[in-house]
Amino acid sequence: MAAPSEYSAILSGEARPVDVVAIEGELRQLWTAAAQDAFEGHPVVRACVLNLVAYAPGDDAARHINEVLAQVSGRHPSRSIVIVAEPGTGAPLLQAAISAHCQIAPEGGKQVCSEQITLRASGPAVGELHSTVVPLLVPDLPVFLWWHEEPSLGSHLFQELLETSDRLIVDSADFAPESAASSLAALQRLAREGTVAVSDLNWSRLNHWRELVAQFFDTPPARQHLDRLKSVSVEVAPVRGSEPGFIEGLLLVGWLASRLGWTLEKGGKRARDGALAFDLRSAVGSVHVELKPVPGRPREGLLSVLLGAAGGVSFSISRDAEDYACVVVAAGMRDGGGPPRAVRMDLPSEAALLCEELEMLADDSVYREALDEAVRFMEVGR
Amino acid sequence: MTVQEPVDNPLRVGMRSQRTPEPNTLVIFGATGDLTQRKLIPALYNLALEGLLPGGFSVVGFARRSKTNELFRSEMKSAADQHSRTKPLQASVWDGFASNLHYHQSEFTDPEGFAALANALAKIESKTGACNRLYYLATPPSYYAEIAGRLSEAGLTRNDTAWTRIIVEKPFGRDLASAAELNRTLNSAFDEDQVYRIDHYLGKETVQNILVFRFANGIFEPIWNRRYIDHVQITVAESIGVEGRGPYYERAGVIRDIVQNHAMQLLSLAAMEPPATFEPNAVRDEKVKVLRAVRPVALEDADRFTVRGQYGPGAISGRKVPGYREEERVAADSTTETYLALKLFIDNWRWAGVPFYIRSGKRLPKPVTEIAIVFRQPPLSLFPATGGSSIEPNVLSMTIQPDEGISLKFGSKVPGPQAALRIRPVEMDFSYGTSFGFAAADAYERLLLEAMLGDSTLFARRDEVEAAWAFITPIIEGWANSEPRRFPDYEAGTWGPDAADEFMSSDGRKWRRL
Ligand SMILES: NC(=O)c1ccc[n+]([C@@H]2O[C@H](COP(=O)([O-])OP(=O)(O)OC[C@H]3O[C@@H](n4cnc5c(N)ncnc54)[C@H](OP(=O)(O)O)[C@@H]3O)[C@@H](O)[C@H]2O)c1
Repeated sequence: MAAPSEYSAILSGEARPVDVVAIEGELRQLWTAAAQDAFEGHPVVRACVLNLVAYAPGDDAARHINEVLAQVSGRHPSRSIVIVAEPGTGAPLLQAAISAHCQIAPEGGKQVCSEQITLRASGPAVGELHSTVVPLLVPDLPVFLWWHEEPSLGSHLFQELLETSDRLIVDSADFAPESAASSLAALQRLAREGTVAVSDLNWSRLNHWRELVAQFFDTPPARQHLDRLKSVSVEVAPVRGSEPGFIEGLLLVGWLASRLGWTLEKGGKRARDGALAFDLRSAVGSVHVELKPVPGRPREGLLSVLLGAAGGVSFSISRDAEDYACVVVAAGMRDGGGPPRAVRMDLPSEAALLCEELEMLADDSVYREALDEAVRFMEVGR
Repeated sequence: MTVQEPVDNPLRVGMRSQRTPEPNTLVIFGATGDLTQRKLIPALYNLALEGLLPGGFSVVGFARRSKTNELFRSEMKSAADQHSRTKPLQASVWDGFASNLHYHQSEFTDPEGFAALANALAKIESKTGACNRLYYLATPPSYYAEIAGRLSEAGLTRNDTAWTRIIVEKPFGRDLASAAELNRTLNSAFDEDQVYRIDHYLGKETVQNILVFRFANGIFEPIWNRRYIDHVQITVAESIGVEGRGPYYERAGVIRDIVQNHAMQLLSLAAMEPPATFEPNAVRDEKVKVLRAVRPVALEDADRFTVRGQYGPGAISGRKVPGYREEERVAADSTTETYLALKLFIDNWRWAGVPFYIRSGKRLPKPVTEIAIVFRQPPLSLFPATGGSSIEPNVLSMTIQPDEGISLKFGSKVPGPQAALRIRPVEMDFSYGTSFGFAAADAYERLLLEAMLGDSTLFARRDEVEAAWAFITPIIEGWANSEPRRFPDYEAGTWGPDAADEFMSSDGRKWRRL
């Protein structure tokens, strides 16, 4: 058993190796020690509102996940279980460590701590990891599975963990270009089956964009134009590599199509300069969709959205060239709409996106329907 | 007045916010004042920053001194710079916002100024295409009625195709008669559903959470009554003094500044019956019912049900502070109370016989606002008291400030042999400030947006304000007839006068140590 001082190291973020069978006992010790010496003068409160199981394929991903979790824990105190798996390598090996993330309340009040268990497995041990994870879940609290890789429906571990989870979180921005279509389709199947709710961080990236698009049509004079849209043009920047982040753009168009009842009309094609174009049919006519990659912009996500309606009416949202933290929102209607205005739209960090998803418990049918459409667009686009 | 139904926008399905306000113009009366600079402009800027204001939103600042639009904008910019919740200012957002800020110079008493205001509004509206108007009375209260009357005279209180609303700041009246009089004047210029009486406490996330907590968690409602609750304590403690607003406070005292509005709001939320729906009027109907059920205090009983106090010099967080009578622009022999403890009863089925204790004061040791529900002791004590300590009652406390959260205190056995059974209170804590670590939007942001959206749930209705005054006024009048207190009677940085502790102990109870 460790001395109290060793536990204070854990509270400041150090990981401590423990025996896999003794994890719960060690955590109890940690909190008892913490309660006894009110670590650094701030009383320590252990809080937990959810279980977060994070899957890291390898050490780099694990480091990254750790950083994100440290930021998330302040907003969603949780028990997180990080799985670092290296299925291919060597002999079966299973190791465990415990650590904690603590946040001091702003008014210098209590210190709220989240606990983290890291399980490291290699070789055949990976396949059996779920049997270690499941008993470690805090009973009766929601379980989020953050899968930091393309969802591998064939993987035993993935399937087993999915069984005990309420919500799967992935990021389709990470999907490799060659497998993106099949991974997105796999996600769609999972979402349809409905045994687990599905979240895509790439969809959360659209939240603010969707809010601003919807805003255009909150007023009576603008509302009529929504039924008469004729074109949607989206500029996208490369997400991480060089490939444009079409999935995010497709989800946005998928959202518009599913909300407004547009159907796919003609086969899509890669247009000039790597753009993706296709036509949809609305109740009154056709809607031309174009997704244009804008090279040379090292930023993430969408750059602009332009909606065109009959009679030269347009609605646009575009990143401000001078102030990248802002977008310029403009409605071009004859009957007003006001001058363009700037609105802050930070590029959301991964932690911020994850936080948003951790707030959601219910199935998001709007996402599901947008995803259905995006998968369809993806198929014709190939 | 016809208010358009919210537009049916299919893109709003499944979204967090259900709509943005329609384009509108906000006219701030008293636009060079303290409230505008510290609260309103920073709140509006942050709403713009978040993209929550509609395109075609403008502000007209109305005040007496003459100045150009440019000067007004630059003053407002330094105000936002200094007081914004988010810093630094985002240049492009501010510039866009500022281009829609206009200054209008006039006396509140000058009809021509209001005719000119009508022209100025028409000019702005011809550009934005939006004729919705929101007036904000950020002026000394003596002008509220005047301004409402002038607006009415200038034909600015109604519009056939757009909404017109008015937000009225606190204080709302000095007693029942003046509040009723002000209501009459306002209601002769505006319909009641156009009037938004602001109580910024209601804009706080946790205050709204009281209702969610009570009515969304099945385990509390069955025990939320006289069978299980011994008494309720509501505390609104401030550690600050009068902060340069001496003349205002001299006329108000804690009873008008905090108790009549904020504390009575907390009381009604904690004690009300479940509303049939969460519609603005359904919620407010229930709040009014409970306020009307508060047992009146007879004039001659005012001192029996209350304890007044006033702070003398002392120290807050290790810093020496002057007494109330030494504050700027406060009378050296002032009899204004800066502390009040009050006991009341609610004569209805749920609360019959359960005392509610309210205490509020300035220069108390720390800022804390909470509602504590103190449950009854078990009917039969199974466990002998040990070490001179009796078993502590269960307490459910809802903290509104500063650590927003809820905690439950219950008894637990101290580990050890059965023969030496010892029971200790244990606190079970849930603080959502930290559990859901939001940088919560400021109350003014929330309330400005709600008013633009036409949701009056978080504003006080006419009958609500009058019901609160109907209870409070006899107490103030009763005090006027009684002997002056020997003030000051508590040291700054302590929990109020000794008499407040005796007030509780004579009922066999004690204040929570916070
Ligand atoms: N300040 C706060 O923290 C606070 C908090 C809660 C509630 N409130 C309430 O909010 C209201 C405003 O408070 P405040 O502190 O902002 O007041 P303030 O600083 O005294 O400001 C008064 C404003 O009214 C204008 N004004 C006064 N008489 C006028 C007249 N005859 N014609 C035209 N303009 C006139 C002044 O314009 P000039 O500068 O041009 O003279 C100034 O802009 C009060 O009802 C107060 O109780 C204030």
